[in-house]
Amino acid sequence: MLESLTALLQVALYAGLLSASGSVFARATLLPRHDDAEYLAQIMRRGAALMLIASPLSAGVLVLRLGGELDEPTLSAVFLSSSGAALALHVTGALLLLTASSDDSVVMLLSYAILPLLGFAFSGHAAGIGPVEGAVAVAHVSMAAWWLASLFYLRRGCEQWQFDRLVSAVTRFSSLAFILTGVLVIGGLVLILILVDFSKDPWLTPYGWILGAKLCVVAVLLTLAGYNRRRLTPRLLQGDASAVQALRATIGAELLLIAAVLTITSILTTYTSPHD
Amino acid sequence: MSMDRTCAALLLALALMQPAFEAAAHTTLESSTPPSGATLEQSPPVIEMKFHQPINLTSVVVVAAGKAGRKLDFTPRASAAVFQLPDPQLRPGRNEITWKGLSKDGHVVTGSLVFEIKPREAKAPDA
Repeated sequence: MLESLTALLQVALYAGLLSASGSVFARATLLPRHDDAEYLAQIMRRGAALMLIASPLSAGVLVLRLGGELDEPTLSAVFLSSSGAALALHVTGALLLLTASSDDSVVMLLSYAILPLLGFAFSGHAAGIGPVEGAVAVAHVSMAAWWLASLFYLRRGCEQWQFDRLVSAVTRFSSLAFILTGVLVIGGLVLILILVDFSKDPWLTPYGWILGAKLCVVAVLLTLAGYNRRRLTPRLLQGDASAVQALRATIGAELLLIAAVLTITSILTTYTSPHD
Repeated sequence: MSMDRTCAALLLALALMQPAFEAAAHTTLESSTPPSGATLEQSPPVIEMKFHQPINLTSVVVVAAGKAGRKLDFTPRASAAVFQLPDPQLRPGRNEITWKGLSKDGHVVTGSLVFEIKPREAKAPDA
């Protein structure tokens, strides 16, 4: 029961963290107009609020899973450890993002957004190996955050914007996505190479099965993203307005697939370990 | 499918996942001195536990046959790969020591050691 709750809180934490930090990255790179910047700020605040609820609750559930005693070994394991460092970064970053003013510069917002992501350099499977591996995890998750928030932004564009404005936003997104999702994929592959011991038949372990399931969903997601880039974006550039509905539908599907990836990742990190 | 229904499906999936992965519980103890399963004549002065990776040990409890659980002291009280349980005062009979901790990658890790204490029978005096 407590493990299921941990996995659920982990999904909420990932969703909050990625949408809050990703909104800032999307704002910095996609150069939205004022009302769209306000929409991204809304996502940022909702994500930060979700993070602010999920992160301390996760720590509370962790205390319960360790026996529920508020003694010195338990408290120092949860709070004076790498898990505690990640918790502090999540909470501080979430508070800064939640209370960020519309007057704050993009540089300031970026520094707030990076803070909770740095938690992955302290806690998690990669961080358990070393700081370099933790840094790869931070880069990987940062790119995922940008992608998620950018998709929210483009979905709003499909619903509300004039055609020319949408075409311009999609063009900008496509040029950046090629590089940033490339970093995301390469980062993910590097993490697999770092974490998985291929000499021990990893695909026969629970960690291997769940990782395999995640890779399958990611493959479908990347195929869909490729379809958007190679088919729908050229149709939009040629002035085909019917492509807007198709784009909206595929972006919706991409968002659901990202939700599935986050859920599988939370199961992967809660129930299994590559070090078993 | 609406977002609410998607969330409900996720919740159900997570709840159903638990039994399937219970077997994947993380046991990272590499060895102990004396080794688990050992039969000893008396309680050892110290038990050493060696883990594959550093962990933060949070509790160690010994349950002797017919007795309530008793907490054992351990050192160090920080992240480490080797811990010592000084003077565990194991009782005659079966003693199960269960430990719990937090691994460096954030997993709750648990496990147990079993020791049998069989005091040597006093020699019958020569007739």
